[in-house]
Amino acid sequence: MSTARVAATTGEGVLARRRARAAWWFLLPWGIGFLAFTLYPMADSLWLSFTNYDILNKPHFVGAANYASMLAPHSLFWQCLKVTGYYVIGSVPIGTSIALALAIMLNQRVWGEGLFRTLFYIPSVVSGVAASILWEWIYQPQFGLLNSGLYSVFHISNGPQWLQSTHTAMISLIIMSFWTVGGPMLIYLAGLQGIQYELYEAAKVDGARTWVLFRHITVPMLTPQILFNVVLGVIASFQVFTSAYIMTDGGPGYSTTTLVLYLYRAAFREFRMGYASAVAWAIFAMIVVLTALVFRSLAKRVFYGGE
Amino acid sequence: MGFPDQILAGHFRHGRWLSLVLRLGLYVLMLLLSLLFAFPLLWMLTMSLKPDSQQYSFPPQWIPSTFHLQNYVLGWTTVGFGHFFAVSLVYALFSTGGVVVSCSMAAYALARLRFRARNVIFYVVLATLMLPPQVTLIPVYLIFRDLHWLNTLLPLIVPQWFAVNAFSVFLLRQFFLTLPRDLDDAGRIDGATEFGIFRHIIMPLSRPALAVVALFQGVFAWSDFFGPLIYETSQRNFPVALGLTYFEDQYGAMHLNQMMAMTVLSVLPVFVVFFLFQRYFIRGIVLSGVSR
Repeated sequence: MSTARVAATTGEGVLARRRARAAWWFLLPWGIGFLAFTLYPMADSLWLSFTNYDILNKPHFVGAANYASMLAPHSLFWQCLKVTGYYVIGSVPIGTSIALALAIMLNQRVWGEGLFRTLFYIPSVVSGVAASILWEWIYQPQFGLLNSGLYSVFHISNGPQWLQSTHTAMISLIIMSFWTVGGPMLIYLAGLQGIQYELYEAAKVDGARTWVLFRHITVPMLTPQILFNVVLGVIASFQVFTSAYIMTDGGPGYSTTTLVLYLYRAAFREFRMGYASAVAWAIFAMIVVLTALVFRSLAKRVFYGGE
Repeated sequence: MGFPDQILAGHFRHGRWLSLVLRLGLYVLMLLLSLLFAFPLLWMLTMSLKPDSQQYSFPPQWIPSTFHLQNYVLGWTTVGFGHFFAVSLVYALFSTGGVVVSCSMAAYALARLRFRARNVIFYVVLATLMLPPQVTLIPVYLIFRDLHWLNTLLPLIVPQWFAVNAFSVFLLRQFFLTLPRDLDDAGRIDGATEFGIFRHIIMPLSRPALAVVALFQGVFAWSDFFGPLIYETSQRNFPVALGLTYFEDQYGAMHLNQMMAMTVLSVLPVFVVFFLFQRYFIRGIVLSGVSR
């Protein structure tokens, strides 16, 4: 305490105090934004989830009724959870594997690496809306690209119904998600380029085979990137919305009604704001649990080393 | 020698021929795969150039008999795409400005100023990074309703001026930390204010990081669908993303070629920006991955 007072009388103390005061000015926009667009909305959302609120009349407290009806045995929530889980499990493991395979190919120092990298990445900058509209027609059963191709190459004249069948609609959305693995691919590529070549050299001297090199050098050295891509992939795919909204509108039946689409409909189509808030908190809770699970199963194996 | 042969070819002790054959196989595979990735975009392009009579032809006509550039003109004028593009441009420019200014201010305080609660605030920023947007969606919507800002662009732009983009704050903080401390001290000795140091020393040196942040926000705003879907109800406030879905609802089945033409135009600005600034894009993605 006394040293601080002494310091304050010296030039350095004045400077330090000036800097501390300046810090709050620099943080002012963030502070206002945090209070107005994060902290207050979180509290309000939690409160709303315990009310009935149709946007016109005042919200009134209903206890845990929203949660009870959401979790009731015949609630649509379970169907949406199933659909979303299907999407996460279908898209994340295969998607990150494709990204890794592409990155390993690019990392072979082939001629035209930059060109190939661009070609693999460019679909990832296509907006969700443009991609959804495009793929909606790619999947069109009569004349879309996919069934046209099946006819031209394999002479299959009646290809799958894709988005129009409850059996294949979700698979179609999952396949489409593989088109945009460019981001994870670039992250893997950067990771691969950080692995020291000497590691492979040493293993080769010991006579290790390709698979052994991959399994015991490449994968362990890439675990930070794998963890990152899996966690972000799970979080993003759990919130899938645009493709389901535009391409299938949740159908046919409820075969592609994802959780966020369900929330959107409850809030902005049916104006059940209280119920939708409860769904939002359920989504939040599940993302936290899922992320923790991924961390627990992968983090122990993560190898932050080399230096 | 470096890196070339590490996984596939490197440890083949079977001689150069096999390695050459493998290398050739790798090329063929990569060529096929890149074709697979490019095919949807090529199909979009050919569809956009087909005359009405060939839109739904089966078996398909892979290359249209005549290039029907008219589709672009007709699609552009029927629903007024020029206006949608103008709205998207306003959204992208003004929200990007907000992110660059407000996020770098917060990042400067977190990276280069010493004050109590600095670590706490940094952890709060990291925590908001994890928060799914659905949780705050409804109350934020209600705030803008009470402000009578629904069906304006303000709900999309104004929050970005208050550093709500935690990822950008984080990325800029990490970059500011790498700049040498002596710079600030030199500025202080010369009597510069903290804001002067930020504005005239730190910001000019941080152009690469600012470019990454600006590019990401610009592309995000250009592509954003959920925000406009919630806030914009009248056509005059539709950005391109909503304009496209509107066009699809109205004319999509009848004028597929025109819709594909408009889809091509909607992705064109992002492609151009990507090719011009590829370096920054890739650096940004890699930085996000390194951040663990």
